[in-house]
Amino acid sequence: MDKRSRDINPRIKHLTLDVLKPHHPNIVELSKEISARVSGVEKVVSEIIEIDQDTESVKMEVYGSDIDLNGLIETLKKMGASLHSIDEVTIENS
Amino acid sequence: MDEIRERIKKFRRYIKMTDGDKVARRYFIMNSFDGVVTMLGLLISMYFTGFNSIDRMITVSLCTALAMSISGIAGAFIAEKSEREIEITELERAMLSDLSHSIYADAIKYTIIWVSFVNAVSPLIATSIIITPLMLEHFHILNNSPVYSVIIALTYLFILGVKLAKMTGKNMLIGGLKMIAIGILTALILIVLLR
Repeated sequence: MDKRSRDINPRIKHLTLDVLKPHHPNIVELSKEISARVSGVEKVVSEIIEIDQDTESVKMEVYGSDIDLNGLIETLKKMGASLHSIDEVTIENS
Repeated sequence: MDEIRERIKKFRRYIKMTDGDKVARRYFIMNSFDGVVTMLGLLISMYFTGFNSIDRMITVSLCTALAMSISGIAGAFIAEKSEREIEITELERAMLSDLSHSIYADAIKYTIIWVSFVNAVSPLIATSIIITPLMLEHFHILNNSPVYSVIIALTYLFILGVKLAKMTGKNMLIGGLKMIAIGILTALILIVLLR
């Protein structure tokens, strides 16, 4: 095996997500939950882009050392939110 | 102790999430009012129809309160469950996802239970307070207890009226007096019918 392949360990450092959520829980609770429950997350920045009668569209930026994407999706689901798209990702090798 | 505190915190969060606190408050006032006016009617009709046994008055009052409680819990459970099912279905349609395993579904379950509990307990609390003079007469501590019970019922109505007025930023005295007026009107109608 190539020495470089053995050393590569891609880690997700940053994600920009398009999330759809109900009005409750609010973005503070949702962001806190993601920060607390998802491993590898160090910072969450959320911004409401659109509101309608039942839902809110949120642009969520997640920063960390090694973000657990599956855990993040599960936590979003648990909080009643759904992931519409991953708009941006930053991956670093360590 | 920490676990209990966490559970209470979670419960409060869930109830607030679904506006269950507002619904429960509304049900508490409505059912307390129902309980008080029903007891008022019961006391007056028992008194004016020569139903003088204090023990029987207590029994009839408690049975009525229990029936109201059961009706309250069942009615609220069915109504609230149906409403919340509609709400979550509409939300799932808007979200294009299944919310059955989400925190929202959990919050709704807590809300249904809480609202049903409040609906059951509110007439019971009102009745227990109103029949206290009857209990005191049963233990020979007081005489003419039905009169005191009626006074307590009217006072309870006044307090409910004050509380409602305070919540809506209106004049508390007028709010209280309005509720008393309803109680007195009920009493007068019954007295006229029974004489």
